[in-house]
Amino acid sequence: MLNPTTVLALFVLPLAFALILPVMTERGSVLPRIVTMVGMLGVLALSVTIFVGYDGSTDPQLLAVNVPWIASLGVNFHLGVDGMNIYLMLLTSLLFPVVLACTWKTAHADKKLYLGLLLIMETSLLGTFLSQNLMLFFVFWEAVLIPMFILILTFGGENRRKAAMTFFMYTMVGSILLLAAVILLGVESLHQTGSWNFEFSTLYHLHLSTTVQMFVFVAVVLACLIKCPVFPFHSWLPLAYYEAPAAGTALMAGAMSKMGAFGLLKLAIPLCPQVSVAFAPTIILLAVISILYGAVLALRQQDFKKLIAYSSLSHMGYIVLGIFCLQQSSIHGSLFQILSHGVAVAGLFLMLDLLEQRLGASYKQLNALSIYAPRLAVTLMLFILASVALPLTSGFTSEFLILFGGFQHGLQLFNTGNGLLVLVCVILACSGMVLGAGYMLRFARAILYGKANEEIGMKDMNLRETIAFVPLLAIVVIIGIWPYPVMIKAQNAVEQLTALAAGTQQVQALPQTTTTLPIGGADGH
Amino acid sequence: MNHLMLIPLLPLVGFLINGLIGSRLPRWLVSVIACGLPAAAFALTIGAFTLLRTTGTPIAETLFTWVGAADIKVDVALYFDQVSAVMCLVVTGVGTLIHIYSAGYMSHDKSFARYFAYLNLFLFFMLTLVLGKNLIMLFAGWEGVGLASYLLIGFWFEDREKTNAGLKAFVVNRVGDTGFVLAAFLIFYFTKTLDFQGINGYFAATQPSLLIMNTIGILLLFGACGKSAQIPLHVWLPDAMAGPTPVSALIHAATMVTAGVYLLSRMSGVFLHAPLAMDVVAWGGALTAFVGATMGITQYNIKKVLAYSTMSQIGYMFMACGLGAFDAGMFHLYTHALFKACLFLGAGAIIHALHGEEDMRKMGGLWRKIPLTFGTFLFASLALSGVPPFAGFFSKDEILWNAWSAPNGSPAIWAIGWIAAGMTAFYMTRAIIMTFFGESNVPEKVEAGIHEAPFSMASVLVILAALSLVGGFIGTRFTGFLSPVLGHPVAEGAAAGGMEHILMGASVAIAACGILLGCFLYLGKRTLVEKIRDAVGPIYRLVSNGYYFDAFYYKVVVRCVDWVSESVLAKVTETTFNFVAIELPSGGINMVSRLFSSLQTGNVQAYVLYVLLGLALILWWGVAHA
Amino acid sequence: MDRYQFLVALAGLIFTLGLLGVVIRRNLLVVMMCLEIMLNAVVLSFVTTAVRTQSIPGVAMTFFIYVAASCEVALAMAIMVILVRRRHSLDVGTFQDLKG
Repeated sequence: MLNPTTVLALFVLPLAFALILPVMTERGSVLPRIVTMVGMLGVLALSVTIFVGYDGSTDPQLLAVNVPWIASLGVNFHLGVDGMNIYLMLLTSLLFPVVLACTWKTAHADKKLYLGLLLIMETSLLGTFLSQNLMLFFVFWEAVLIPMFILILTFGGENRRKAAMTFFMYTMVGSILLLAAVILLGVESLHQTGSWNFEFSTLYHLHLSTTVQMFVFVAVVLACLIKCPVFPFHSWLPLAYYEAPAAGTALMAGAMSKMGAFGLLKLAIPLCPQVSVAFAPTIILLAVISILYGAVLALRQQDFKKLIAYSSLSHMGYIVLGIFCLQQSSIHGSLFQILSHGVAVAGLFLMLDLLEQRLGASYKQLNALSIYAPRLAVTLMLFILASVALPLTSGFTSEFLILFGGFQHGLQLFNTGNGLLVLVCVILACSGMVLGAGYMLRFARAILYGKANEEIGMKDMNLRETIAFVPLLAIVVIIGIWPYPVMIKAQNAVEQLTALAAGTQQVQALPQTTTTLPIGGADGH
Repeated sequence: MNHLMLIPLLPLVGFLINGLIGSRLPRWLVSVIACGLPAAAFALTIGAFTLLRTTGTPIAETLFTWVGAADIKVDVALYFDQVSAVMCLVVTGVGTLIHIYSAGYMSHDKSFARYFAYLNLFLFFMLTLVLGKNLIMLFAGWEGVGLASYLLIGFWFEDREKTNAGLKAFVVNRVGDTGFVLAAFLIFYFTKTLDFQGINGYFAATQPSLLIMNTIGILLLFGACGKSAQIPLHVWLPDAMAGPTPVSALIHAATMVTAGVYLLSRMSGVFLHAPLAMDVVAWGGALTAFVGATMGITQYNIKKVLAYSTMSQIGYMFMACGLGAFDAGMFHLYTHALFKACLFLGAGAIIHALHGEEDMRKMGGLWRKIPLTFGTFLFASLALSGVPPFAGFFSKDEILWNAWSAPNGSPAIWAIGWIAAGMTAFYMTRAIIMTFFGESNVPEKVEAGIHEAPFSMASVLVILAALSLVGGFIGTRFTGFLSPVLGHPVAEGAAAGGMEHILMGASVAIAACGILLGCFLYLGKRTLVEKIRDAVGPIYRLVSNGYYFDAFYYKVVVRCVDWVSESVLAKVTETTFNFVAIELPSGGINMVSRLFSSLQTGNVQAYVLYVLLGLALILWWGVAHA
Repeated sequence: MDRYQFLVALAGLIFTLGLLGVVIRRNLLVVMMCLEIMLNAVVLSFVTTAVRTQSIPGVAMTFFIYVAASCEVALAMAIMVILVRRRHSLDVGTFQDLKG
C-alpha cells in the first residue's frame, strides 16, 4: 500500500468529495453528511495505512507525487510523506471525521456549505503538511485560510464578523511576509542554480548569506508565530476561538495552529540554520513567556472556552520551546506535543460543544457533570489529565521530553559560557506544570464536581459520540505509555534537523579557533 | 519470570474492571475483585521477597523501551531489591488489609465501585513508584499516586470543600514535583542515565562538585517535601483528611506520604556526597517532627490529630535519612505504616459508629460501647508514643540514637526529636482520653446507634494492632536485610553501648511523662487545660492555626497569582495587546479611509473645486520647475 | 495696455466670475447660466485672438462652441426638468447621491 498513488489519493479524496457535494440537491437529508463522512474515513484509512507502514527509513520516493505544475518557475506539484509530517498527516486525517461525528446532529451539519468547507479545509491542510515544494506549500498555507474564514463568518457566534476579519487579516500579515521570503528564496535559487526552483530539497542546499537568512528567518518565524500563536502575536486567538463554531475551534486549535510549528520545523530551521541557532534564545524566551502568560491568564477565566483557548496558548509555547532547543529529545517532544495537544485540545473543545448542544448557552453555569453524565465526565477528565501532563498520558511524554531536552541544552550552553538565559527559561517553563495543574483542575472542579441542584435532564454520551472520542483517547494513551514505536518513525528526520543545527554550531566555533591560533602563535614566538 | 510485572498490573486490572463496568456488577463481586487482586499482588510480592532473601540478588525486569533517541533512552523496567521489597510488602500488605476494611466501611456508599476503582488505581501507581527501575518510572508512579489521592480526597465531590482539598493536594504536590523533575534533569546531565543503579554507581565513583551535589539533593528534598507533607509543603495533608477515612489510612498515612522517604533512600548515593543537603534534610525533618507535634496538640478533629502526627512521624523518617541512617528511616516507615494505619482505621471505626462525627469534643466515654476498637486504638497509640515493647519504640529509638551518634548528628537535633516524642505521647493520650474516657458528649440520638465495627473492619483492626505490638522485634534483621542497598555509613562504636542505653531510657521516660501529663490534664475536669490555653493565648492561636502557613499561601501566593491573572494580565496586558495589534491598525485604516471618503461629498461643485485646485497645483509645479 | 490685452483680461475676468458662480451658487439654473458665462468668456478670448492674428480658426471655433453650447443647454434643461420633477428642488445640495 505504500506507493505514490496512496499519497495522491489522500490529497485528492476530500477534494473530490467536496466537488460531489453540490450535485446532491436534497435538503435536510443525511446523505451529504454520510458522503462527507465516507470521504473523511477514506482519508483516515489511507493515512493510517501509511502511518503504520512507514518505519522512518522508508524510501521517500515511494511516498511522493511529483508532477511539474508551472515548470518554467520550478513550481512542482510535489507531495510526499516524511518523518517530519507523518504525525501531522495522521492528526489532520483523524480530527476531521471526529469533528464531523461530534457535530453530526447540529443545524450546521445540515448545510452542504459546512460539509464542503470541512472537506476543502482537510485537503488544503493535508496539502500544506505534505507539500515538498515551497510555492505549493505557500499556496496551501493560504488556501487553508479561506474555508476557515467562511466557516467562522457563516456559522460563528454573535461577534463572528469581527472575529473572522481579525483572524484573517492578522494571519494575512504573516502570510505576506512569508510570500516575500518565498520569492526571495526563488530569486536566490535563480542566481545560484541558474533556474527558478522552489523544491525544498534544492532550497535546503542553497548557500544563503547571513542577510538573506536573516530576512527569511524573520519573515518565516513571524508568520509561524502568528499562526501558532505565540506571545505577543496571540491577540486574534481568544476572539477567534471563542466566536468560531465548535468544528472551527477544534480544527483551528487542533490542526491549524500546528501549521505554525510545522513551518518552523520545515522552513525556518533547515533554511536558515545559522540564524536559527543565533536567534534561538530569543524565540525560547518568547515561548516561555507564552507558556506562563497563557497559564496565568487561564487561571482566572470564568468562561470555559476562553480558558481552553489560553491553555492552548500555553501548550503551543511548549512546542516552540522544544523546537528551538534543537535537541533530539526536545524536538521529539515537540512533535509529540503537536500530536498530543492537537488531540487533547480538539477533544476539550468538542466536549464543550457536546455540552452546548445539550444545554444551550446555559452550559457555562454547569456543574456536577459527574452526576448527570458520568461517561462525558470521565472522557472530559481524561482530556484534562492529558493537558495536565500526567504520566501515562501523551501530555507527559511530550512535555517531559521538551523540558528534558531544553534543560540539557540550557545547562550545556551555560557550561560553555553562552549565558544563563535558556537555562532560566527552561526552569521557568517547568513552573508551567504547576500552573497547568492549577487551571485545568479548577476547570474540572467547576464543571465536573459540585452539587446536582435540579434535574436538568441531560443525556450521557451516545454511541456515535463515544466512538468519535475513542481514537483521540487511544492516541493520548498510546503516546503516554509506549511512544517508542511512534518515535522511531520521526527519528531520521529529527536526526537530520539536529545535525544541521549542530553543524552550524561547529561552523560558528571554527572562526573563533582560527582567530585565536595566530595570537597563540604570536605569543609563542 | 514475568511475575514482577504482574504485581502492579493486577490492581490495574481491578481498576479497569471496576471502573468500566463496576457500577453494573453486584457489590460483593466488586469487593471481591477489588480485594482479591491486591491480595494476589501481595502473594506475588511474598514470592519475590522469598526469592530475594534466598538468592540475595535483586530481580530486574525490562519490559520495553519508553523513549529512545540519541540523547536519551528510558526503559520501562522494574527492579525488586531490598528497599523495593520492604515498600512493596508494606504497600500490598497494608493495602490489601485496607481494601478489606473499606468493603465494610463503604458498604453504604452509592459510589462503591468507583471508590474501589480509585483505590486499585492508587495501588497500581504506588507499586509502579516502588518497583520502577529508573527515575521516570518512579516519577510516573509519583504523579499517579497524586492523581489517585486527588480523586479520593475529592471522592464525595458534591462537597465543595472536599474537591478544594483535592485540588490543593494536587497543586502543592506539583510544586514539589517541579523540584523532582529539575533534580532528575540535573542528574542526567552528569550521569547520562536515569537508572537508580547507574546514578548511584556514577556518584559513588565521581562527584561533580559539592555545589552541584547539594543542589541536586535539595531539589530532590523539595520534591520529597511535597509528597511527604514536610515543611514548607505540608499544608495539603490536614485538608486531605476530607477523603474517606480508609483512604487517609492507606494514602495519607501508610504509603503515599512516605514515598518521599523512599525517594531519599533510593537516591542515597546522591545524598551521601551532599553534606549540606543532608543537614537540610535532617534539620528539616526535625523541624517538621517538632512543629507537626505541636499542631497535633491543638486539634479537636480526630483525623487532623492523626494527620499532624503523620507529618511529624515522617519528619522523624526524614531526620533519619538526613543523618545517613536510611535503614532506620525505612524501619520507621514500616512500623509507622502498621500502627498509623491501625490508628486511622480505628478512627474510621469511631467515625463510622458515630455516623460521621469527627470532632473529639463530641465524643467521650466510648470505651464501654466499642471495646474492640478501643483496644486496638490503644495498642497503636502506645506504639506511636514509643512505649516498649511496641513497634514504634524500636524504630523511633533507632532514629534518636542516630541523631545523637551520627557524624552530622548532635545533641541539639536529638533534643528536638526527644521533645517531639514526648509531645507525641501527650497528644495521643489526649486523643484517647477525649474519645474513649470521661463523660459522653455524644448526642442522644446518635448514642443509641453506636455499634462495634462489622467483622471485615474489626478483623483488620485486630491484625494491625497485633502487628503494631510485634512488628518492632525484627529490628536488627530488618537493617541487616537492607544493608546491601543502604550501607550504614555510621561507624557504631562498641563503646557507645552505654550511651545508647541511657538514651533509650530517656526516650521511654519522656514518653511516660507525656502520657502521665496527658492523664493529669485531661482525666477529670480539664479546668487546668483551659487556664493554660488562656495563659499562652497568642502562641495557642499561632499553633492551632497551623503557624499561618495556609493563610500565607492562600492570601499571598494564590491571591497574588490570581490578582496578576485577573487585574494585570486580563485587564491591562490583554487590552493593551488587543489595542496595539488589532484596534490600532484597524482603527487607523478606518480613519484614513473615512478621511478620503469624506472628500467624496457628492456635490458637483466640490469636484469642480478639486479640479481647479489640481490644475492650480500642476500649473504651480510647472512654473516652479520651468 | 492696448485693447487686445484689455479684451483678454476681460475674458479672464468673466471666466473667473463664471467659475466662481459654478462653485458657489446653489441654484442649478444659476450654475448653468454661470457655465454659459464661462463659455462666453472663452469665446471672447477666441475672437480677440482671431482678430489680432487675422486668422480663421479662432472664428470658426466660436461657431463650434455655440453649437455645442446650445446642444448642451437643450440637454441640460431637459435633465433639469426631470430632476426638478423628482426632487422638487433646484438646490444642488439635494443632488448628492455620489457621496462617499
